[in-house]
Amino acid sequence: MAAAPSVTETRFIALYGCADGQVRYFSPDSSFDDPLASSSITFKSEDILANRVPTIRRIIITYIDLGIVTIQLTIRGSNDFGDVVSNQGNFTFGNSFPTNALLVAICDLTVSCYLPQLSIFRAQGAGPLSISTIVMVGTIEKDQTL
Amino acid sequence: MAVNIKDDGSFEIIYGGQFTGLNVQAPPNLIKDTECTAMSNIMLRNAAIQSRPIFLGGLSGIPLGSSPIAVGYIASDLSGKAHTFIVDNLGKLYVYDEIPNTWDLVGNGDNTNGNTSLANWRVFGGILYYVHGTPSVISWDASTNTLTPNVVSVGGNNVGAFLIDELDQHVLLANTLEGAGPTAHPIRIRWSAIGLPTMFDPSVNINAGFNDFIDVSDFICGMMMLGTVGYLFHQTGITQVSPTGQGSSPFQFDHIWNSPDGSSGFWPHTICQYGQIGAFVSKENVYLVQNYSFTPIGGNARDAIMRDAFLSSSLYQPFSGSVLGSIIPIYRDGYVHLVYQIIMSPVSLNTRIYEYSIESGYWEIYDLPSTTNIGAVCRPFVCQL
Repeated sequence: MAAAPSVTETRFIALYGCADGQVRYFSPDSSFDDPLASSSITFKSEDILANRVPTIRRIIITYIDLGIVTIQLTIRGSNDFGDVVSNQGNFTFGNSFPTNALLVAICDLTVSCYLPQLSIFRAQGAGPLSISTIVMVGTIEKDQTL
Repeated sequence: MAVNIKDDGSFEIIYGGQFTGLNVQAPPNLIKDTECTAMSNIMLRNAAIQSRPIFLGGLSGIPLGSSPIAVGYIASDLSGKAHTFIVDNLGKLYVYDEIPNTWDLVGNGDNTNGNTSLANWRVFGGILYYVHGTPSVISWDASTNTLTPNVVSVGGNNVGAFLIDELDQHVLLANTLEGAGPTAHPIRIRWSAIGLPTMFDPSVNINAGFNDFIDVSDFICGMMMLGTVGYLFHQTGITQVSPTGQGSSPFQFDHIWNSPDGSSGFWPHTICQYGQIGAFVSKENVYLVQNYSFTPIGGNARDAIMRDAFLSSSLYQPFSGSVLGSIIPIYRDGYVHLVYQIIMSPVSLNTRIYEYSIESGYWEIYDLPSTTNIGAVCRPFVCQL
C-alpha cells in the first residue's frame, strides 16, 4: 500500500477545526485586522479626587503604525444626579503604507463626570491596532472647599 | 494608583507597561491601571494593546457535523516522514495532503458503539494509536497508510478506551471499554508491556497489567504524563502515577487527593500539557502544573471563566467536549505566544477563547464570529503544514 501524504514544508502552525468544515489558524503574518471580528477593551474607572468632578479633554495614544485604523473612544462616568454620562468619538490614524514606527495620535474628547472610564472599540475590518501607551488628560478643581 | 494632580489642577493618567489583562473580581474603580474590566479580541503580548491576528481559513475538506475533532501531528513515521492528521468524533482519520491542500480520508476507524467523543491519540514507535470511547484501539502506520482497528485484545476481548497516553515506554489506556457489548470500566487503567504498545494481556506478558481504582467512586477523565511522573484525573481527585522499574508491577499509584465530596470536577478535555507544563480547568479554578505542583491561575478572571464554562456545558457530561483546552506555544514558527487556551461556547455567545499567558500571567479574551465557530468543535494543536 502506498504511503500516506506527508508534509515537507517546515512551517508549524496552531490549527483549529471549525464548524464550517474548515481548518483555521491565527495568522500574524497576514494581518491584525480581522474583517469578521471587532476588538474592544475597557479600562479602570478612575477615582481622581473625592467629591470632585474631573473634566477629561484629551486622549493621547502612542501606537505602532501597522496601517490605517479607525477606533471609537468612549469615556463613561456619572454625574451629581446619579445619571450615567458619556461621550464618544471616532478617530482615524496610521498610514496607508505602514511605517512600523512609533507614532502619536491626539484625540480630543471632552466629558465631565465622576469616575471616568475609558473604552476603546475597533470595528471589524477597521484596521490593525497596536497601542503602546494611552494618556488620558484632564483637569479638576483641586482647591475647592468641601 | 492615586492620580497625580498638578498645582494647576491638571492631571494625566497613563495606561502603559505590561498590561495585566482581565479583572472581573473587583469593582472597576479598584482595579489597576494595567488591568481591564472587559475585553474582546485584544492581544496584550509584548506590553502592547493589539487587535488579535486575523483568523484565516483555507484548509477545507472536513465533513460538517464531525465535531469535536482532534488535530494531531506525527513528527516522524517509520519512514521518517511527517504527517498532520485529524480524527473526527466518529473515529474517521484524515491526513493533510500538501498538494492539492486538502484532507484525505484514510479510513473509518471504529464506531461500533456509536460513541461521538473527542478522540485521544498518542504516537509510539512511529505509529499513531487513537481511541474515542469505543472498544477499539486503532493504529495507523503512515509509512504504508495502513489503518487497523482492534489492535489491542485481552483474553480474546477487544479493548478500547476514552484515553490513551504513554509513560516509561508503556502505553496506557484509561476509562476502558472491553469486549462485546462493550463493558465499561470507567475506573480502570491498563498498561502495555514495555516497548510493546499493543501487548496488554498480563496472562501473556506479566509486564502488562491493569488496576481498578475501587476506592474511587467516579471515572477517570484525563491523563497527564510529565516525563518521570504522571497524573490520572478522576472526577473527585488526582492520582499520581510513578514508574517503579519492576517488571510485574511497573507503576505505583498514589492518590494526591481522593474525596467523595469532590475536590476537583474537571472538564476532561481541558486537561493538557506542553512539555513539562500541564494545565486543566476544575469546577472552582484553572490550574497550571509545573515542577510537580498545582498552581491556581484563574486569578482575577476566574469568575468569568467559571461562569462561561458552566454556561457552555454540564460539568458531568464528561466527554461532551463542550469546554476544551490546549497549551499553544506558538501561533506559527517564529511568533511565540505561550498560552493556555480554554475554548467554549457560552449561551448567547459564539466561540469564546480565554487565553492565559504562561510567560506573563494575564488573561485575555478572543470572541470568534459564528462563521468561524470552533467552540465544542476542536482542540487545537501545533502541526506542520
